[in-house]
Amino acid sequence: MHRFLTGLTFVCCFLGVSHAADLRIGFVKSSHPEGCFQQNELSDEGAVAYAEHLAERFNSDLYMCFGEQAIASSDGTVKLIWGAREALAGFLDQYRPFLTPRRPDGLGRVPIVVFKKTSDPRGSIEQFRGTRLVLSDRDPKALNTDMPYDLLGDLGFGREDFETVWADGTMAVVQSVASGETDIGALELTSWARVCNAYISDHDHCSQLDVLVKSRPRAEHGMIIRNDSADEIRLRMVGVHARMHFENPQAFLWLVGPDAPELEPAEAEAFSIGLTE
Amino acid sequence: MVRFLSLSFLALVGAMVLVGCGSGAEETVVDPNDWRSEVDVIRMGAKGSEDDPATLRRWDALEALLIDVTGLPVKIYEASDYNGIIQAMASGQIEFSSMGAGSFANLYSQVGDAAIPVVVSTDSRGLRGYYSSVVVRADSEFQTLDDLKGKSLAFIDFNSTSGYIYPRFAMRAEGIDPDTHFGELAVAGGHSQGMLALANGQFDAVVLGVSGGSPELGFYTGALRRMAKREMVDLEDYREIWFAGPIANSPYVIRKDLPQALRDLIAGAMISLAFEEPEIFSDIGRIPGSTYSAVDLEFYREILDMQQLEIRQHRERFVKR
Repeated sequence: MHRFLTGLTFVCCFLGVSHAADLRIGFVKSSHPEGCFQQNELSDEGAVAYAEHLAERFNSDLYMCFGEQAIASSDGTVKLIWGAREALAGFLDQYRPFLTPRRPDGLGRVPIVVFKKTSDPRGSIEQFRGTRLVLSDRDPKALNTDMPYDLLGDLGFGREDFETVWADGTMAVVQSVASGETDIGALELTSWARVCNAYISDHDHCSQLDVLVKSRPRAEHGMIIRNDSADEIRLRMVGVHARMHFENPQAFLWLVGPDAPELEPAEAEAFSIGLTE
Repeated sequence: MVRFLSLSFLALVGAMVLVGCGSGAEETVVDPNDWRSEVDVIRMGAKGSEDDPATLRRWDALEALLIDVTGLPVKIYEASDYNGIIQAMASGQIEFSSMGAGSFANLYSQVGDAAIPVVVSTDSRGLRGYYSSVVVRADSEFQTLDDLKGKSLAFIDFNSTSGYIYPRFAMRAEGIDPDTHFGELAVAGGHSQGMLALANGQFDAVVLGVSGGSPELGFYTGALRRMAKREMVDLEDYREIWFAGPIANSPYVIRKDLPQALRDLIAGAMISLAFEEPEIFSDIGRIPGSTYSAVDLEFYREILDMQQLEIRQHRERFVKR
């Protein structure tokens, strides 16, 4: 109940007033002239479409604030900010990520499992720098190769920090580590689960393996929301933005650009994976 | 009385909100359009899984989450068969439910776009489909559908996408008319009933859904694998000899007469599950590494067309008789 009341308080403060409340959205590194503009002051048709879409869905007067200066001088009234991770880094003490674009190939930020043989006494991934890493060479390469490298990169490892060994598929990756042929392996989570939950009695490879890291790669772009926003607002924002490519393609194209097919949620740590360890 | 109490409660909350909002003369009245004044309870449908006794516990976790994020009572109505969910949604007894694509096609034929698909499972490869399989006993001689000519085959349910609608369409696309190719056809009533019927020798083959992979990669789950995990059957005693797909994954469907803000909230909560509540995502049986994503009506166009074709063919057969 307490959480409900707290949430409702925020909702009402944020939106529910006698006339439509202001909803301010910031955009960093924008080509638009700096400053905050009400939706009827916007000239770009895509920006207008986006502003009208959110204004209608949240019963709000929508303002868009372009540029870091305009956002910083808004005294915390900007609820959402869109931009690249690096450009948003200065706001993360008061905001958290909650949306990020899917990749152009349709892949999301899939969790990656990095694992070692249980009998190997080394306990942290840092101790495996310079060792043999096994990856699957099956398609899609973006999922089986790029994303494991992305996560390892987030954790401070370059491709040159491992001797990469290529295996023919998921089972071969697991067997390579289990047999001691390689030191660590990395698989996307579904492949890992498919092998390790195989319901055949002689599939016990995973019982000899320990997970070193299980994490999604870091998000590189997206939208952040103020930490004091109610869960309800954040989730409604997810619901509205995740369907925007269907419901308002013009607004979606203006916000996200032509490459990403859709927006997906991002966890609170999505911009800081590997940076705080 | 319930509505009266909830409105009174909201008024009280509204008064508390005035204090919470602090200064600002314009922040004085709760928005009369707040969607909570329009909804007393969220009623969600769920189809039980006969091969998984943890089903109820799983829905309990989702129910608790929806209560938390909406602040409303949530009631989950569990149906034992596909048609129970379809009819409850069509008649407005539930507002929100997961259902197979074939069930959605059936619902759509009854109520049009009064209920729309909003969320669907997306796998780690970005794909939103699963497969039908034909399963035989490993000690049988059957290796292909041709080998099953004149033999007995169990489908699952007339409203089952992977267990009836899609495989019949796919068989015909391969030149096999299921109504004449097999010697005996039946519907088992559920995927695990079908699997048990195969195990007991009642049929030569059964049609089952499989997901979390592909024929090339192997699969993560499905009735056969769930029952093997529970040691009800041994996976090595069975052989999958035919696959059809990918089939559009099962959507969560929501009635459009719910307030837009609540529809957005429920969609956002479901889509966020894999990122914000991974334990609940796992508890409700989702495949590790997958997510929920937004979906629209067009994604189900193939199934909608198949269902219409199936209805036409049924009518033609009836007229010929």
